[in-house]
Amino acid sequence: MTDWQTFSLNPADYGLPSRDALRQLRIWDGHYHGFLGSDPLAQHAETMHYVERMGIERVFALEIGGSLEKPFAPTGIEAQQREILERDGHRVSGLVCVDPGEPEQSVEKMVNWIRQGPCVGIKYAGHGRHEFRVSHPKNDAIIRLAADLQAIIYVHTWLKVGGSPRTPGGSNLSGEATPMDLVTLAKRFPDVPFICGHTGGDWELGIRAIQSQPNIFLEFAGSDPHSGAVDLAVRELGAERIVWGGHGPSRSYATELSKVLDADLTHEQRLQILGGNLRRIAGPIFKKKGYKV
Amino acid sequence: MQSPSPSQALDRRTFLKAAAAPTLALPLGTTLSTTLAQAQSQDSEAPDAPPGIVDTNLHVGDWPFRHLKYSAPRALADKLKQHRIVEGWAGSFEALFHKNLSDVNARLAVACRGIRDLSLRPVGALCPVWPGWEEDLRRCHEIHKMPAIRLYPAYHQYRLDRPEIRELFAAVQARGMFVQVAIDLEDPRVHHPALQLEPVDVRPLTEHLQAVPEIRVQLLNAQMALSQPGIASLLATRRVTFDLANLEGAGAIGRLLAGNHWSIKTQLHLSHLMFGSHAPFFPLEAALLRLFESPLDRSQLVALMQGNARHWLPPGPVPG
Repeated sequence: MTDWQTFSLNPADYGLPSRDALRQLRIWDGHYHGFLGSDPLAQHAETMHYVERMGIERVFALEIGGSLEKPFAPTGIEAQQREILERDGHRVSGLVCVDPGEPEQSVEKMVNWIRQGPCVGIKYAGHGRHEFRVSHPKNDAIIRLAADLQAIIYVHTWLKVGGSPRTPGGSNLSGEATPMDLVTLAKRFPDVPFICGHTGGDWELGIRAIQSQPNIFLEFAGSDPHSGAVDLAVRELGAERIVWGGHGPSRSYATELSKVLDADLTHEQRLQILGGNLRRIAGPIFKKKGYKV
Repeated sequence: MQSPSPSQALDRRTFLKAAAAPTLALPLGTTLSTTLAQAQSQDSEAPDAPPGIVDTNLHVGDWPFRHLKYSAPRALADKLKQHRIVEGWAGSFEALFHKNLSDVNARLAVACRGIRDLSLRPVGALCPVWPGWEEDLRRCHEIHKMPAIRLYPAYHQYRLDRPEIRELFAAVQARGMFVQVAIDLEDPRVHHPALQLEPVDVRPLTEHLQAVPEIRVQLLNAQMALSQPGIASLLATRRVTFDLANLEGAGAIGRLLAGNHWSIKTQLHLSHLMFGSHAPFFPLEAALLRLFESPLDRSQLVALMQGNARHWLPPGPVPG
């Protein structure tokens, strides 16, 4: 049987934080894809071994009560997910996927899973089902409810290069938001915090896009690790506007942690980025639900 | 600068004492940098010391589209030493867009020689579909003493089914060198709009390897290749290896070795993998932490850290 907490060589001998050091950073992972694959419950159980090994304190699962591709279709594991969120609530939290083109269904899902259920936030996926992105006014009903619930709002953003002429964002799917789309939305709700997922993929442009919109936080998960990326984000946005995501199991936790370890940060800044800022965003709804922060 | 003689060599404890206590004189002609290098070298070779790492996937210089924190060879070497990297195989990012690869390789060799407290081994770039690669190869081998050459088919815009590849493999093999092929350097979704690169199809390599017995080929940043059809026959040659830099997925190494990776169906043998970080473009910490993300035993870690690389290339001298 695998001992997931034993290391045959000491990471500290290689200039890396040990598992204990990682645990002391109180890492909150805002981007967890454990409930995916052909057997989502088994995948979740396996992925949590790595979460535990890497000293991560809490994950926010993004596929609760529906998949990213079909957010309103029954998955058949809803009851088990509710059970996991209640039983393992000290380390697993849930976000539900919504759709800016389907505000009525989205609101119904939020009431069911957040107001009356265990979840704490919403996720917008990148999709090609229709042309309604988060910036469309149809989406405002969802945001108004999220604000009322004090729910976490995570928005997948990308800037895929392509099109003719080729431009960053020119290959995005029809409903896939860019950081600029998110800024358009965030301007209409200046008191509501938003998380700009993936930095827009092209972080040099994504950071610029959101720089002047202070209610947008930046998250780096789900893209290759580029040395210097977090340094730039801290210079332009401040460490207090960056949150961390692991994107497991499709991404390596090593990849996502390295982005922060690479940066020239104070210990206090690392604490902020790896968990402190997400605890600040999640604080109100956790308090309302009686969850421990 | 020549290496100090054995009589000048200090063990690590003596050196550290000397560094801490100015009254303990160092032997005549022994500089701080040479003794530090020796101390670190001895440290890594001591039976109870954590094994040092050979990084097979490095570049020097800036990324063509961005300044990098550790682009300068000195900065890179200092970063490597902080993380117990004792040797690196380095190409030059200039090779991506410069046509005069001969000069690129010469500058790379000078840059690596300038690092005197770490074994930074230059890997020159060749383009087999441009004229003069045979002379470039000769210079890499005879003048710059390079152990290997690196190909950039995506950036130099050729496919691996070209007959020149086989000629190049034969010429490289005749000199006792090996080949590295850079499969991906940057996620194509975030390329500069001016770039339009074809993905590299590795399938033709199998025939080249069959035609050139004993040629050894390392595929760098090659996660994409592991999902291509025909990869099994390439792996079966046992003369192809991969580095760790872009092997994604939670616990990727352990799961690839077990044949249950989240998205890659191919099962790898431990001998297929060598440590490589793609630094300074990727954070060095990514590949390092990847070693520890999977519950590997010490013998597996040592093979990945240095054993498999040493099998291809014995340790080189530290220039200092």
